[in-house]
Parts: sequence; C-alpha cells; structure tokens
Amino acid sequence: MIRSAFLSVKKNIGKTILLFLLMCLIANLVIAGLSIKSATTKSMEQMRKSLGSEVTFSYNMLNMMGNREKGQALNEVMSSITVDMADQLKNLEYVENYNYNMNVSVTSDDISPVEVTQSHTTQETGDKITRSDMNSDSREPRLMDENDFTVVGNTTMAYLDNFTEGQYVLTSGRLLTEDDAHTQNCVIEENLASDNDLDIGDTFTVTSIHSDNEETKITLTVVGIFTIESSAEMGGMMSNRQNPINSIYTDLQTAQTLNGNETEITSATYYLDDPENIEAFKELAQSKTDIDFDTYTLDANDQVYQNSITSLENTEKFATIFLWVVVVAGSIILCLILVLTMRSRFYEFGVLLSLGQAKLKIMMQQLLEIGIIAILALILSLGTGKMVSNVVSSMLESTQTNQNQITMEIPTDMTEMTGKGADNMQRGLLDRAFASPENTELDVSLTFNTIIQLFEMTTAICIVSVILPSIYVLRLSPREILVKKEG
Amino acid sequence: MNGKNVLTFEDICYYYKDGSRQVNILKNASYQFERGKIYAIVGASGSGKTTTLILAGGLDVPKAGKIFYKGENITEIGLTKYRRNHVSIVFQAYNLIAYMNGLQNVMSAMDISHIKVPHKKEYVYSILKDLGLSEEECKRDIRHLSGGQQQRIAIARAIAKDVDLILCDEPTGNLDHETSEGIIQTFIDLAHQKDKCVIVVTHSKEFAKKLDVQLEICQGKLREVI
Repeated sequence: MIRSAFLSVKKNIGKTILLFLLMCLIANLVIAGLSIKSATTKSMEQMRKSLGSEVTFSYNMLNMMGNREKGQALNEVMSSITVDMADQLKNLEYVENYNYNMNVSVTSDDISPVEVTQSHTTQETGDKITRSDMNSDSREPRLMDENDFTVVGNTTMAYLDNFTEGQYVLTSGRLLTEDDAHTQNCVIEENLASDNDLDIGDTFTVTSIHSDNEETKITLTVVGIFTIESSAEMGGMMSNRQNPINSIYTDLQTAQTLNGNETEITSATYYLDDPENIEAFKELAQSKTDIDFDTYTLDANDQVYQNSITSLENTEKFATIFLWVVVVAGSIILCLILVLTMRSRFYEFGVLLSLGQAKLKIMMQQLLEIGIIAILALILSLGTGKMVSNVVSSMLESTQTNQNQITMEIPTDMTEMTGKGADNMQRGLLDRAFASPENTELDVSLTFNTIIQLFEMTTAICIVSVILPSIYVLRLSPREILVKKEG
Repeated sequence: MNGKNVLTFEDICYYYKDGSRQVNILKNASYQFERGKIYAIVGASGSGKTTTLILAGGLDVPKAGKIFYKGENITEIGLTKYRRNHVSIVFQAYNLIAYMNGLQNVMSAMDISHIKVPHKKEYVYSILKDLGLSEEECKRDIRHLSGGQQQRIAIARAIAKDVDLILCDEPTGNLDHETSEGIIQTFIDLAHQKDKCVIVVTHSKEFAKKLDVQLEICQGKLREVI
C-alpha cells in the first residue's frame, strides 16, 4: 500500500503538482488565519490584563439625572454611599483588594495652593483673596470654586492607578497604607510642598465647611511627597482644587471627618483576581447584597477596553470566518479535483478490489498519497505562511489603527459616568487607551500550537477530500466498477 | 463432498433487469469444479460465460443459490478475503494498474495477498520470463506494452498469487496463435502439474477442445459438452 501510494504520487506527476500547489495555497491561508486568530486572542488577553480588573462602586449618575426634577440641585437627588454598603462587596468572591475613597474640598490658612490662574488676585494690591474675603457682600464675581484643595482620603494608596501606573512618583517619604487609618498623615505634591516650604514631618491645618455651615479643622502631618510625571494629568483644570497638584492624600477617616460624616464615602474600588470575573462579580453583587443598583452602580471602567477590544474582536471574527472559508473551500476544491481524477482511478479501484484489497485500505492509500503531498506542502508553507501572515496582519493592523484612532478621538460614552467626575474619568480613560500599546501590533509569529492546528486542519481537509469521492466509488461492487470502466 | 472439489455452484440464479423485463442468465445452475482440471466455458455472446466467471471470482453475488469454495460458502469466508486468498482472475481487459510497470503490478498483487517468498523480485522475474517477457519489458511502463505483453503480465499476476483456483476471461483473445499456444500450455500445466483448478471462458472452440472439460450454458444451466 505504501509502495503503491509513493508510486502513484511519482507517476501521476501532473496531478501531484496540481494538488501540491493547491495544498500549499490552502496551508498558507490556514497559517495566515490561525496566526491572526492566535495573535488577536493574545492581544485581547494582554489588553485585558493591562487595563486591570477594577470595579468601582459609586452613584449611578445616569439614573440620578433621570430622577432629577427641573431646577433640582444634584445634591438633593444624590444618595450617599455608606461604608456598610461597600463592606458588603469587599467580602465577595473574586475580590483580592479594595480601596474606599472620599474626596473633600477644603481650604487652608496655613498653606497656599499652586494657582491655576491669576484670577484669584486683585488687580490693585495683588493680595490673594481668601475664602473669607469672598463673602456675599463682595462685588467681585463669585469664583466657581472657593476651596483651594481637595483632600483625597483612601483606605490605602497602594492600588491608586496614578501611582501604580507611574504618572505620580513618590520622591520622598512614603505612601499611606491601611496602618495610617485615623493618623491624619498626608501625602502632597512636590510643587505644593516647595511653594509652602513643607517637608516630611511638617504639619499644616485644613478647614472644611459642611452643608450646615459648620467648620472642621484638622492638622495634617506630611509623611510623603510625590511628583507628577505625566503632563496629561496637569491639563483641564477649572479651579485650584481640581488641579492634582493641590490634592492632599490622607487616610479615609480623616477625609470622612472633614466631610462631617464618618459613615459615607465617595466611591469604593474593588480589585478582582481576573478581568474575566468582572461580570461574574457584578452578578454576585446583585444577588448577594441588598444594595439598590438603580441608585448605585458597579462600573468596571472598561469602556476603553470595550472600545479597543471591538476592533480586535472583529479581527478575530474575520480570522475565524476566513479559516472556515479556507477549510470549506479548500475541501471542496480538493474534493472536486479528486473526483475529476477519480475517473482514471475508478478502474484502479476495481482492479484492487478484484485482487482482494479491502475498501478501507484503498481509501488509506488515497489518504497516504494526499498525505505525502500535504506534508511536502506543509514544509514549504511553514516558510511562506509567515510571509502571508505578515502581509495579511499588516493590512488588518492599518484598518485596526484607523478604527482605534476614530474611537479614541471621540470622548468616551458619558452615560455610564459615575461619581468620580467627568473630567477625571475622561482623562483617565484616554490615558489608559494610549498607555496600552499591546493592541497596536499583532504578533503573528508561528507558534507550535499554530503548527499543530495547521496539521490538524490539513489532516481534516485531506480526510474529507479523500473519503467523499472514495465512498462514491467504493459503494459499488467490483463488477459494477469494472463494467463502468469498460463502459 | 468429493475431496477434489474446489468450487461448487449450488442452484445459482442470476438475472438483470432490462426495463421492466427480467433477463435470466443463470437459473438453478449447479456444478462442481475439481482441482487438477482445466475447464472451458463456451457459448454464444450474452449466454452468461463472463457472469459465471464473475460469480466464481466473488466479484458479485448470485441472486439465489450458494457458491462454496472447498466446502465453505464464499459469502461466509467474506468476498474480499476470498478474492485475496483463494482466487486469481485474468480479465479480458487485463486490468493492470496503469502507473505501475509489469513487475510492480505482479508484486503489488502478491503484497495484497500477503504472499511471502524469498527473493520476491527474482521469483516474479522468473514467472514473467516463463511467459516470454524480458526483464526490460517487465520494467517498461504498462502503456508502452502491447496487448499480448499486458495479457502475459495479467496471467503472471494470477500465477504469482499461488492460489488453487484460477479464472480466466478470454486469456488468449489478444494473442497471436504462437503465443496463444504457449499460454494454453501454461494453464494446462498449472492444472495438471500444480494441481490447480483452472476455469477459462473462451469463444474459441479450438482452444476449448484442448482443455479437460468443456462446459456450455444452456437455458441458464451449466452442462458438460461431450
């Protein structure tokens, strides 16, 4: 059988060359499809990992705006997040770490903010206007925001994106941890520190005014100083307190004290074990807690991921469809060629059957012949397939890059925006998008898995292409085959 | 059962449909073929000579009746196994595999039948040489051989299988008189010296007369011609 197969391949050289070229073409296309498919899967995985697995628990701004009546202030509609609510979520499955956040606007008589504009000073004297100067009797236009600083309280600073992703870098001292709870320690920006001659161990007092006009004063101790490395973080401020330079990082309890309510927080962020579990975590939160998710929301901050992943998913879909088309079309073409050449083999099948060869062995011989050609085609295709993959992936990348550019230039969907604030959210998402280089290039290198898959697919194509025409002939008795030939 | 019986036809019926009409070829045909004898089946065209050979060769199954090989029903042996191990057929159209030369055709048939002999190639060459083919002719592409040469390769293939039953459909039809004589003698020797059962379908009465038993198909039955 093996000898006969080799002889057939050698003697029927015309058919062999035709099948070889066809197999090369199919193998190259299969390699291209498999490479692109595996590359997009890999890119999606990398992108998902790089975008993290955070879920933020905050107000559902969308629903809140929907429930607001005409002329109603936002704070009348807003419901606060309580620590109790957040605590229900922190013990759920998939949560590896968490951080509660409380943002409070404050002023200070001890330190001056790093000014955003000169609008805070009077033209005549150049004296700085303090909050107390800005009373209702003043004829100066009322400033948009009277507070110069934002106290950002956190359970821990260990997971804050700005620090973990390198936009903010600690230059001296340390960041706050869970051990700093109730300590009134703080971490400030380098410029704010130098403008006010502050160093590690120095103290200053901040003041907050609650809704009932009661003041809370707290003296903070500087334990860390950081610098902002990313220029993107500096832009887009409307007032001093929105300037990240004027942010003062404290422990959560200090921020809550300044806010006048020690049970409320602004938001809670949960760090999950795997980005794949985001949806499962959301479902668990819905079923296992009594939190009203019409009022509050769990936001995975994955709009950028969703936007970016769409193009990769499209590429992957294309690769899958492409593969199917190649496999099906390849099988059909191979089948047709084998059926056409079957006319000459019809006679051979009859002879072999009359000599007592089993039908299965006749099919095996056909398969062996195709297999010999396929192996030669595969060896050649391992070299040429890489080139085809590169060409196809370059074409796809250029399409994908264009799509990404369009996606990133449009501000992200504001409907899902939450209590973090529109400006921060938008900036953060754009930064993340541009900071995720893994999706910009498809790695189409041939992997061992790809080669195995290629082998499997080629084998499948060969089997289908041999079995179908063979069954057509071998269903007949030897006499019928020989009579047909003679006829 | 006679110990010399190789092939037994028992009430064999075979017919084909020609539109709505049933054309009977064999009707309750029975006969016992013995080893050591060479049989000629003669008769007019369409009388059922080749059909008888095809049924004897296990290439088709009768509509009714049984065929026994050495007392065992060939359908129970399995038609493929029967063709592989117990019978050799020489076709009128030679039925050689086109991409193989003469030597390879014979060796391929031996491989299928799992026949193992020492110095196989030399063994095949010797058979082909006995049939009048040179070594160069044995290695030549089948398509470049004459009808007679191809016929001799087909006969060599049947001989090389070394089975007890050899069936031949017009084996000398494409051969000149001198070669035919040699071929006839080869078959007679196979029957008489090698104790084979050889059944030959022929329209040549001259050829038939030289064989041990002449059979004709008359009204669907196999009858000896005395």
